[in-house]
Amino acid sequence: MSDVRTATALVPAARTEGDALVMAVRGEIDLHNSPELRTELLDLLAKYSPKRLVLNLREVPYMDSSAIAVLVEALQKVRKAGGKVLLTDLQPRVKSLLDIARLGSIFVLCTDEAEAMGK
Amino acid sequence: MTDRAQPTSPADDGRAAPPPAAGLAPPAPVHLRVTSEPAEIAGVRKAAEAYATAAGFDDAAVAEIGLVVNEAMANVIRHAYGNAPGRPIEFDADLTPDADPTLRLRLRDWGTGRMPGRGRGYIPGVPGGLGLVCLREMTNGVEYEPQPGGGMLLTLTKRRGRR
Repeated sequence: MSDVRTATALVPAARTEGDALVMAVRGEIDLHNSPELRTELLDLLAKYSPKRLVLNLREVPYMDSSAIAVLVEALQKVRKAGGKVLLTDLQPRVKSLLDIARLGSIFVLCTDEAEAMGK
Repeated sequence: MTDRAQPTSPADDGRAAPPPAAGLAPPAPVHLRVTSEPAEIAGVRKAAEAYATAAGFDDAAVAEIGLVVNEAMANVIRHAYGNAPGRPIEFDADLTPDADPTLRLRLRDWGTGRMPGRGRGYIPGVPGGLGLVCLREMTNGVEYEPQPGGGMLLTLTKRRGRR
């Protein structure tokens, strides 16, 4: 396991673990800050090309469709390389938006990081 | 007993009336005027959520109301104003004066006045189009009215207790 330096408070911590890139995301995310999340996420994906991207959303109480669009863009990149995106610790508002977006089966949804690392 | 000793309205003694019991009187309507920056979205969303809470909506409905206001604001900023900052947006929230009041959320802009196109629609796993899905699925009514002087008035309605 090795820590990864991040460039935004929206991603306070990241690490690589085996073939996984594990990132913690923090904050309410809407059109104001989703571009910042996009930059960070795409930078780290380009740098590490992980087979599994694990996003811990425990500290994300809220996101809007622009944040979902960022996650979907990341998903497309990871999938193109034959990988998958796992989302953990979903808070209720984030979970219901993923449901409305019918993305519950496109992302791998996990209770926590431990479950994600076992998949 | 005099009128002075028994004021019949707040104006009689200059004091505010005591707050009514929950559910008996509607909260004061919200009117906000902001500009077309993404940083303004959260404040308007939270004002809508606070109003909906005060109007007796449950947590799940309040969350939907906040999200649709967010999405509607984002659409105005991106599409009506093409991401130009500093343009006016007015937001109003109130309840219809019915026995079973409906929440009415109005967003007025002075942008292109174009009706939102359906585009290719929303496809899960492809970015874009989700905002309009939220507006449609999380409210009871979505009405766009191009305004005579230019721009658009969007009215979203939501009833309590049911979709």
